Amino acid sequence: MIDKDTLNWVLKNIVVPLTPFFIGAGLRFIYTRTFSMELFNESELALSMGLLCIIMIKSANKITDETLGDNISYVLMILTLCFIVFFACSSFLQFHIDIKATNQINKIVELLIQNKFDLKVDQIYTPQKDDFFGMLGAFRIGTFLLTLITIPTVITFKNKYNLT
Amino acid sequence: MNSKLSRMLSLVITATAATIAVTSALMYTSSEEIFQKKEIFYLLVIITITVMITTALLQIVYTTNRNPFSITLSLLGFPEVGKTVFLTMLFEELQKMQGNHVNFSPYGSETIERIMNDVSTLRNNEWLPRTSMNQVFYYRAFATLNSLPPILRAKKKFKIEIADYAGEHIDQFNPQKENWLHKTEYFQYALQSDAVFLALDTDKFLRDKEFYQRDIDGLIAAIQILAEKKGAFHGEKAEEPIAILFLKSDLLDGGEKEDSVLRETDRLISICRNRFQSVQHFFVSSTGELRDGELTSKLEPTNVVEPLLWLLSKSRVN
Repeated sequence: MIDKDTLNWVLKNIVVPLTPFFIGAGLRFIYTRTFSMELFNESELALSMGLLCIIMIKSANKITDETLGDNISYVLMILTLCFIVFFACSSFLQFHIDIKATNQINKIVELLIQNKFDLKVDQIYTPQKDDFFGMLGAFRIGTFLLTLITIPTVITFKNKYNLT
Repeated sequence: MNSKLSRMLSLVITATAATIAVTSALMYTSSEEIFQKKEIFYLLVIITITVMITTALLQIVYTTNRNPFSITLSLLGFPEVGKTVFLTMLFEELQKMQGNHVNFSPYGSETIERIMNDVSTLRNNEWLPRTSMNQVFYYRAFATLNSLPPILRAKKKFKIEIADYAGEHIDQFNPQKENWLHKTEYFQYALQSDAVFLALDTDKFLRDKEFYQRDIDGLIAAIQILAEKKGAFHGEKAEEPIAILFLKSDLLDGGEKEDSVLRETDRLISICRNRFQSVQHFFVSSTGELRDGELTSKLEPTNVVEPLLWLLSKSRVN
C-alpha cells in the first residue's frame, strides 16, 4: 500500500509534470464532449514525461552518494532522450498530416469555387487512411509503453534510494 | 560488465536509435516522390522504437539490481558527546562481525580509509579531532540480511549511510537558538532519515546534571520537530525507530548509576515513546574502559553494534 509520504511525493513530482497532458485531454473533452483514447495526445505525454525525467535527474543529483546519484541520473537521461525523440517525431508527423489535410481542404475549396468538384470519396484525404498515421501510431504506442515503464521506475527509485 | 561501459553503451545505442528514428520519420514524409519503397523507413522506425525502449528497460533493471536499498540513519547529539568515535568503532566492529543473520562490508574507499586512520589514531592513545561545523562525513556500508532459511538462499541486500555532522548543528532543532529551523543540509538529512540515533553523554551526567538536562531539552526539541515533520499528529506515532545511546557508559560501572541515568532521562524516553512507534535505549562504550582517563592501545568497545542491529530490525528493511 502507498503511504502518505509517497502519495504526496507522487502528487508533487509525477502529477504536476503531467499537467500539460491532462489539460490537453481535458480541453479536447470539453470541445468534443465524447470520451475516447483520441483525447490523449502522445506528443503532450512525451513532453510531460520528459519534464518529469528532468525533475527526477535534479533529485538524483541531490543524493549524497555520488555513485548512486550518477547511476540513477544516467537511466533518467536515457528515458529523457527517448521521450524527447518521441515528442519531436510525433509532433513532426502530426504537423505533416495537418499540412496534408489543410492542402486537401484548400484544393476542395478551390474546385468548389470553380464548380469543378467531382472528387470521389476514396480520393478525399483522411488522416486515418494515411501511411503516416500508422507511423504516428507506432510513436503513440511507444510513448504510452515507455510511460508505463517510467512511472513505476521513478516511484521505485524514490522508495529505494530516498529521492527527495 | 563494467558499470561505466554498460552506461556508455546504452547511451550510445539510445542516441543512435533516436537519430535513426528521427531520420526515418523525415525520410518517410519526404520520400513520397523520391522513393518507391517507403515501407523500409516504417520498419526502421518500429525497430528503433523497440531498441530504445528495450535499452531503457535493460538499463533500469541493471541499475536497480546493482544498487541495493538505501537506509539512511541520522545521529543527533551535542558536541563532544563521542559521535565520531562511536561511528568509527561501529564500522570497525561491523567489519569484524561474523553472524549468520547479517553481514556488513564498508562501501567506498573514503569510508575504508577514514575508519583505518581513525582506529589507528585511537590505538595510538590519541582522541579524534573535533568535527568542525563545515565538515561532514558519510559512513557507508553494504549489508546482507539472511532473512530466510539458508536452504532458500534468499538474501536481502541494502546500503547503510550515516552522516557525521558537527554537534553544533543540533541547534537547528532548538527554538531558543538563532539558527532554529534553518533548513540546512543537516536538517534535511535528519528529516529524511529512516532511523535515528540520539546520543547522550553519560560523562556529562556524572559531572554536571544541569548541563545534562540542557542536552535532554535540546534532544526533546529535536525529537518533537522530527515527529511533527514525519507526520505524527493526533496521537499517531512516527514509524521511524529511535535508538537512545548513552555513550561513554564504561564510566557508569553498571547497576545503580545506569538506573539513575535512566531516571534522569525519563522525560526524553517518554516523549520519544509517545511520538514514535519503536524506541529503545542502549548503554554504549565505544572504546571500552579507560586507564586513568586515557585511551589504551587495546580498544574493547561494548554494545556498539547492537543499536544498529536493533534499528535495522525495526526499519523498513524488515
